[in-house]
Amino acid sequence: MNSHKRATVNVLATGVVVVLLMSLGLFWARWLCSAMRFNLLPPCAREVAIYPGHQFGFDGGVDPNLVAAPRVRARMSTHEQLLAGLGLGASHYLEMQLPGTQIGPQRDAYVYRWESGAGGQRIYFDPALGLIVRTGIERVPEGREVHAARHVVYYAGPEGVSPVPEEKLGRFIAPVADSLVVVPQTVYDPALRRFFAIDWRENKLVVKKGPELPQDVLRHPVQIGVIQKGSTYIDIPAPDKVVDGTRSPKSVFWSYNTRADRVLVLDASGRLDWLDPQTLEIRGPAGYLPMPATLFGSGRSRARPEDVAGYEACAISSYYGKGMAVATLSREGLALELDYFDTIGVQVVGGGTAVPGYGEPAPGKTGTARIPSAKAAYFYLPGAQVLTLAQFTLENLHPPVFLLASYLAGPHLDATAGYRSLFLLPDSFVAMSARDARAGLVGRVARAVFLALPAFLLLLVLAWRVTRDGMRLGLPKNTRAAWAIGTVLFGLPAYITYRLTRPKVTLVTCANCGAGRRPDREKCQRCGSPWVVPELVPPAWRVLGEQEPAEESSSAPVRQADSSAH
Amino acid sequence: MLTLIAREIRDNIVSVALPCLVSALGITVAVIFAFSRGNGGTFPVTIMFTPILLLAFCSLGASQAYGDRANRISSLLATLGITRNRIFAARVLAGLLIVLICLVPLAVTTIFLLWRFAPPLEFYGRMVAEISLTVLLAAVACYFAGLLVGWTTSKAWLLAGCVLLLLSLASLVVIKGFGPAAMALLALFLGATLWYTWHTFTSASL
Repeated sequence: MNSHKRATVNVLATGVVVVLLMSLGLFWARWLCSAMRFNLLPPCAREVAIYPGHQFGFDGGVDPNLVAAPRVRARMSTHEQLLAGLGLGASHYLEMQLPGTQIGPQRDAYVYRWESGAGGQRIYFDPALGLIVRTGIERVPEGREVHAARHVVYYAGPEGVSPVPEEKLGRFIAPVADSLVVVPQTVYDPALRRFFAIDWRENKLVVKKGPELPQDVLRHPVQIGVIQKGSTYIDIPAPDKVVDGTRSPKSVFWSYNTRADRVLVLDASGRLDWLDPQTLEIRGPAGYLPMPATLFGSGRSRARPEDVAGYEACAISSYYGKGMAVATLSREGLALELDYFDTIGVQVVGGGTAVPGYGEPAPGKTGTARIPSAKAAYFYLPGAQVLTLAQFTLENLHPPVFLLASYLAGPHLDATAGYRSLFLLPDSFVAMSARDARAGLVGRVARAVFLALPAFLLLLVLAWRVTRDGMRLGLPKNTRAAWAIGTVLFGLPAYITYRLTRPKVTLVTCANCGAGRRPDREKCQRCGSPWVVPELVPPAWRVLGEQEPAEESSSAPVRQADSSAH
Repeated sequence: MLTLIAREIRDNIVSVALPCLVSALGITVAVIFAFSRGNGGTFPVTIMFTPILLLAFCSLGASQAYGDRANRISSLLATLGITRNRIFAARVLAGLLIVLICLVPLAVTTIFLLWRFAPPLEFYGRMVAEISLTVLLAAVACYFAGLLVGWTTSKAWLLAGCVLLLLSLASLVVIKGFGPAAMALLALFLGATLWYTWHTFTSASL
């Protein structure tokens, strides 16, 4: 490998390490901002209550004998749970694998029921077999009042149930199943486009098949039975008992759809439908996932499962009426929306979390104004503006190519992906702008460019500095261009990489142009002059000393030497 | 090459013994804990020893590089007609050998105890494999990070660099989890650090 390729690989390796370390640092800084912003919300802004009064009343309206109007509430989880790392990769990974956790339609492991102990009932989908497997203990009668327990394994496919896996049972491809009610268990297979009901009782092992959904019908069920995602993020507590002055308190029954005559199904579009478990056909709408009020808004009233961080649907029935309460939590965890639907899926009343505004009300209005909790957490609560500015700065320190990718991919990523994303920023201001369907394409792009303006200015400055330093060091033109392009794409990490890998030479003054030149080059990189090496010629001047005295003759008398010897 | 590897182990015997000791301790505690409780609970015990092992691997790499730089061992070996590539390869192979010797028995013990006490492996077999592979990649990445920061004569930089890189790698696993995304990032990191370390070592003046 020649030195040029080696240097290139060295630069790439350094760049990878720099980008990774810088992304980690920026991630934790943004995470800290998010946690502190959530902590700004007062308790009243983490809970929403609605009063579906006329649904709980008689023909003339709400029963005037009621002491308190019926109320349905939803609340966010405490901030300690969020700070504990919910949504981060490690906890999310375990949630995806372990049974019983409600993380929405996304799941890696198909485990529907898991009871601990040697004889516990377990129901799961085996992708290798394409069958749903149930194991457990059955009680087999062996006489009068005598039962023997035996371990059983059953395999269920689209065509039936069998104690052994057989080809004739068919194959499920990627089933969506009810994990709450398993007698019978409702299953939907998107490849087969039909619902199934598997009866696991030992004397009724049968699979009922529903009609195939027409191809032109836009229906894509993603969750059946328990309609819940992020159960640790939001909660719909049991509604209060309906109390009136003349009658005894009537309990309000609420459930995650444990009704015998209908099963709740969530569609990929966010619509909730009722399924008839007998005919396995969609009976009618039950409601939809309401879109929470975010900072920029989205222009849609209905949310898809991947648009929100959490949701929960509860069927509510009381002495006075029946309905469906659906709560959703926004991506950033700052806004909660709660809607109540009647028996035919029409929204009756809805509300979202808000912070009471202080000061004079708007002209023509009375009472205290209420600011949506998301907007308040970004601008109005004490300390919110500082956190917003900090987040804005951190986002603009990211490589511009990541900001661009965040804008393009933001509307398509799952709401919780931002909790563990290092390079893409689905919860950034730029991505929020991309999700605002109310503004047109031009408006969204213009706002995104404005929000990323500091990043663009920074990369221009850094690219100029890199180019100037490259010229000073005498780097080839192609190398300077490559560094400039890399800095434009990757911003600050590219500049840091350049500073770490640039040639470390000490420049000497050029005798011709007076600028710094590299001592390892034959010619000056600025003026092109070679080294001035003086020739080795003797000088024209001489250093003259005293004239040497002439030497005397050699006939000196020897006697003088002899007389001195005596 | 075997002689060079043996010399690397001998020259850094303390740093080699430390992760082996931690691994042995982890295995012992996990076995005692599992059998004393009778219903498993091994996983949390091995999780506690994993960060200590990562620290030990990082210190192994740092001591190898720092000792070489400070005592000019490579200069001595170069006079014996051994190329720098062979010296570096022997160093890395010695480190990888220690990583495998420490991690594999710990992983095997954990899997055995899970099989003995926990529900059947057909569900979390994939989880065990992914977590094991991620921890192995993280351990190798910590070792290479130690090699990277160890090539210095300043103890302050050595300590600061080790702490920074260790925290970064640990937070990478916390953020991305144990799936393919974390493995890809760890593989990218250890490839980049290995190349940078090799480049620095082979181009440094002796």
